[in-house]
Amino acid sequence: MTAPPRTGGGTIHASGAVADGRTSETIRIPVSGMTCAACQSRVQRVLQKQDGVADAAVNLMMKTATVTYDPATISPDRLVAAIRDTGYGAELASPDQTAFEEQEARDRGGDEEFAELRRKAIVSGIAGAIAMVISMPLMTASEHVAHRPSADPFMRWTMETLTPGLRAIAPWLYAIPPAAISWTLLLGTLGVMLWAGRHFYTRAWAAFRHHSADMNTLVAIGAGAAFVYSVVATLAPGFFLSRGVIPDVYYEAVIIIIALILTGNAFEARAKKQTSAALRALVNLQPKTARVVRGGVEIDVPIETVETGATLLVRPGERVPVDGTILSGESAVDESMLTGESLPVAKRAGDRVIGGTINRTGAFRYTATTIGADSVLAQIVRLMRDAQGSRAPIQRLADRISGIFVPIVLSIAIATFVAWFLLADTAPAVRAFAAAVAVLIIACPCAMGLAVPTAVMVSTGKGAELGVLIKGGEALQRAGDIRTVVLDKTGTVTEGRPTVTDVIVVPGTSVTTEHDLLRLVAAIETSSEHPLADAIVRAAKEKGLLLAPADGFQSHTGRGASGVVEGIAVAVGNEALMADYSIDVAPLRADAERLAGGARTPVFVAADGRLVGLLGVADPIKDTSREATARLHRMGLEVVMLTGDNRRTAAAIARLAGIDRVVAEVLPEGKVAEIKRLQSEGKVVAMVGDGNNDAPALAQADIGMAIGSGTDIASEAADIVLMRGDLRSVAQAIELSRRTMRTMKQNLFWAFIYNVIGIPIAAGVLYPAFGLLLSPILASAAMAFSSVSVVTNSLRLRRLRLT
Amino acid sequence: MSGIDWLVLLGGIGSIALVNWYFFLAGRAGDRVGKAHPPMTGGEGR
Repeated sequence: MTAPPRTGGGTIHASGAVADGRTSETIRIPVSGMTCAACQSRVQRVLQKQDGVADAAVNLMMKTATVTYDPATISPDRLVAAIRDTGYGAELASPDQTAFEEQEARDRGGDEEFAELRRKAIVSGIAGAIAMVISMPLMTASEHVAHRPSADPFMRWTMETLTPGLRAIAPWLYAIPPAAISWTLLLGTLGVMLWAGRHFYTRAWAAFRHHSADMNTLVAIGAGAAFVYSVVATLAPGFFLSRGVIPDVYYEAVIIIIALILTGNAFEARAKKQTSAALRALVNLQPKTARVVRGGVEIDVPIETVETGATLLVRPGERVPVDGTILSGESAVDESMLTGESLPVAKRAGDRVIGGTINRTGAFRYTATTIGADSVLAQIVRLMRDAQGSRAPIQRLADRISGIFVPIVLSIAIATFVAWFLLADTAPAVRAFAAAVAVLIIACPCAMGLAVPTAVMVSTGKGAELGVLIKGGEALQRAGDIRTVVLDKTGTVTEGRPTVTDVIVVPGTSVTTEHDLLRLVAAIETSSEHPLADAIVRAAKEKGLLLAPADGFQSHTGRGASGVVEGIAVAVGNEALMADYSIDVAPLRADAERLAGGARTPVFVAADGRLVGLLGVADPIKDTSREATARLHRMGLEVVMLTGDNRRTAAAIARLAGIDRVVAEVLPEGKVAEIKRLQSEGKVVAMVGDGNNDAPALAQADIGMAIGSGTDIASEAADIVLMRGDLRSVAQAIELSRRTMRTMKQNLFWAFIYNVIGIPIAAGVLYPAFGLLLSPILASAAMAFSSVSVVTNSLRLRRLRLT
Repeated sequence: MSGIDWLVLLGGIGSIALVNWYFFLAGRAGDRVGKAHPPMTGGEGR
């Protein structure tokens, strides 16, 4: 890693390694106008084809292209030009744009897209209704065509139903010459196609030039064929009449098809925007100003101008502007928006506060510690943004199908035309034309492209609301397959704040009092970073003991520590350490077993090669651990606790927490081996532990979950970060993943089945048995709302109740 | 079958072949020609 990742939209993430003298850089480019998986794969393919591009990944939902390229061969401007050349919009974002600004820009773009689609859909809809009314006199212009076959039976039925009423209301309409009506409709339809439907044609053409086809291709050809047919019927009716075909026009159908598809697109744009609501809510947590104390004076300043080390004041009801450490004052801070913890957390001098949380009860002054891109909130937003833009493996199937979907549909439409033309007994050309157009219009590659990404977006957003940060689609999918959950003990099952509960002195030794024993041990443990050492030093300080300096401190991994205090050689640790020094622990074995049986860790103390005492250290289990493990068991998961602690203590803690399997006395490096052993049994293993100390085990596990303080967000080893130090989050994460996978499978099933059923019906397979033909207008309505139904199904995940 | 029928049948088969050639074969050939450089090593560095 050469530089910390930046947050910007068009920002270069990092410089890459050098292989053959060339370096690589990665850039994220916002792309607009993509509507379906085919659009996405086309932009991706074009970028990948550019000289100097090593890799390109385009995300439909985040509307971004992430490109790794050789700056000596191709510039970011060329990449933007290549995207624009495909018919989509692209613009380099400002290098200084933060994750917050990027999201705001994306929201603005989404709002504008929705507003434009809605405007065009409404105007086209009104134009379509007017065109339908104007067309009615054409249908009844001559009696001899009253029972002729129609290319659109639905439209014909609608017009026949409405005709008597229209004759009564507007008889003058029937006095207008049919040719004049046809010309009016032609010009009106052309206007709608050029204004509201132009992007279908421009994008279809851009796709065609790159040997690609997408949803726009189908709409452009379907609606375009109906328009061309109508224009020929208007300009040269004799051509049709001489062949025994009535020169019908379908202008109103063209306009209504465009209106319906635009309506569907507008609904889809709105629904897609809702999928990123959680990310937007996080961005909105960032306050705009902060109250800085300078020279005793309080000044409100823009948040961007706050510097590390500045002193800030926060009053009750205000949002904490940036991360920091409290200098003075006490309060309760609502961190629910970041951690999912519903109760406000008590804070006093020395405690850490997170920017974006809400101060509830008291005022406090604090020092700003992390600002800008390094703040907890910015890290969460960045993680969420990357996660929402990531792909789940299950999407590969949809990608493969949507890549070949449109050319196959075009082939089916041609085959449909030929079959109807050859087999229909009456008006074969009209029927063939209608069926082929219906096939083109009903086919929908969009739903397939949206099935998985929308679920990933909603689910990762829902997770963030609960304080469960899932780092990507792959982690989301894998978490659903977990069968075994391995829990680290200290800080995961237990509070992680051990306290000294027992001090036992061996009579007749050089150490005569409990205070002497504690002072001796604490002097050694001052140099240790182990949680038990911290508990011992704290206990000594609480009793006001003065600690002498220790010489020759030595840490014995997984065993304890040793050193020299006031000329006495001291060893502090477990039975194994005592055995290393050939010290007999028999005099205190019974006490040690009693402590261990009570879930306390026995710590032996030896001075000058002789056992002098025993300390009992207890780390109480968290209130929620027992409930959490019960929940994991109910979900059919095996729960294993992994600890370096002695067997009896570990067993006692496991019993209290309701954990069925314990692996104790494991050295830190042994945790990785234990995870590997479980994996070799064919189990999909999740490891839950501290993001720093347990990093190797988290990385080895199929899913690594970092639990706790929220400082581990950037931990590379963790696939999922649990912001709350509450084991129930583990069950929530797995349950969320399982529900998301179910939603993805439902979405894919409906997206596939819709096309598998819809296309044959549109082609007319039901006609021989039931006389059923699908109207192109009904086909366009079905197509428009198939995508909406997929997005709506994903949005149901927002209402998921995970306790 | 009439002459028109034969024309439509052969035209249809030809069109399907053209569609598949243009979108699958011609496109892929373009991809192979377009990518002159071997993939670079490196990445996001994260």
